[in-house]
Amino acid sequence: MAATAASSLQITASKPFIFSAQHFFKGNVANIGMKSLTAPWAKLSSACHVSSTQHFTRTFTSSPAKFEKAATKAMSEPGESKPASGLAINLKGKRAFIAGVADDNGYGWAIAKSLAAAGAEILLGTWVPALNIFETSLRRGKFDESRVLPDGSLMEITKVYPLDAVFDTPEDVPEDIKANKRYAGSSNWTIKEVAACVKQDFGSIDILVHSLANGPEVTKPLLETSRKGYLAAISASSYSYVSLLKHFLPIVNPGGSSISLTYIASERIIPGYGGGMSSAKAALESDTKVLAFEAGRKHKVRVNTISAGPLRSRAAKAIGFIDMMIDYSLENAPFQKELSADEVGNTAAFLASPLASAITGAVIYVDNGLNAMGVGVDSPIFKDLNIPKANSS
Amino acid sequence: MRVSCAVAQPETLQVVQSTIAKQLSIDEVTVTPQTKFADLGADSLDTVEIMMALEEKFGVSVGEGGAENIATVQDAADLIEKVKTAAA
Repeated sequence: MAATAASSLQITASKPFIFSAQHFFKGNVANIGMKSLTAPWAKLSSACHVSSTQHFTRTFTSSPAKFEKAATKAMSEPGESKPASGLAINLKGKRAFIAGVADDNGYGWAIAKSLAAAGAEILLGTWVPALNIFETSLRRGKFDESRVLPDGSLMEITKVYPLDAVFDTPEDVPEDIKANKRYAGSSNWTIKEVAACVKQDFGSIDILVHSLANGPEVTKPLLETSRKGYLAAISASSYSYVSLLKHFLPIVNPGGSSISLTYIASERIIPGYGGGMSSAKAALESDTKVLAFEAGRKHKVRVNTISAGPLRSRAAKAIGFIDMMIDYSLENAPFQKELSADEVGNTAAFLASPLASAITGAVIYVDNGLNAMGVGVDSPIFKDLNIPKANSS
Repeated sequence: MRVSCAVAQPETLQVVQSTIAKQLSIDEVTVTPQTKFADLGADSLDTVEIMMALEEKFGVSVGEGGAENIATVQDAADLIEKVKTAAA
């Protein structure tokens, strides 16, 4: 059964439903040097492999791989005319909370889109200081082009919650933050309160996504990082996930899935990814394993993390060396193409879906294979090896 | 035909000054053309919000990266004048 599923998936993957709308980067939210990084890296241009048709539903029991043929009427949408073959990702009836979306060009946004394309209902958690800009942009249609889903409809965002993942409860919030004009207009934005609000509004969720980070000293080498900067990176980028899962787990339905975003700097040397951010990602990956055990045993919830390659997001631009990292990947990765945010979004949709029902505690690389390289093949040392290249020669 | 280095009309500058003052909740007289956003206590988020408010006010759209080179009130007014002219 598992083998059947796997081969079907490959067939599906070889015949992707390609959607190629151009996404235009919205400059309005570009240069704000935000503290809530929407995970490293971004550029939206899309190749969405999430088919809009659903052929299977998966009952989420502990029994292995039991597929139920879905009634066509339950799945069909107006205007849908996809052939009934392959293995589609179906998240209809599922609800996702994505923490760390503040514009339309990071991984958080792309994940929201892929989950929405698969049929999930979308709730967002947006960093409090950026909330006004995000909601205004949304309301004024500035994101409309980026909201287009593969079937031509626009992604619906059911609700946007203000969130600051550095604070767990109202008691943790210092007075100066409370008095800050950007926070004063919002309420209930600590992690505990947001979880309570989501519970009150919707009862439960099925998918939890953590797509946020902050390292105030990210541009400093580790040796020059202060204790304060290091701990701030860990607090905002690692513990924020532990806390998010801790507070949301009681309302995540059994069979649910939790996903975070990490970066290979956790396990390999990436000069420039400093300030304790590499340490924070290492913690995040280790926590993913421990949380997979705890959440799996307690709530039958899967916990995975996506190690994504470089993307030209606003947050990544704030770190400063993103163009270099994209160029490096183009030169050295097995696949010489720029990573699209949708490729990460689609992986998240797969991980969130019942198709990934046995995957937990995993670090999934979505990086054109760069993580597998042992050397940088663009070194002049290798010039006589005749290494094949995608574009030139 | 106006070239790209448009200088804002006095009435544009006036509206820009009042919008910035309102956005930052400060007295309009402190907002002179030469005033830098940073000197008004505006952080980068404020700058984005001001540009969005100006876009709304003038019914224009400042393109990608448009707000990135804005340092002074005059810069903002000139940019608005430029996109207004381009849209006209």
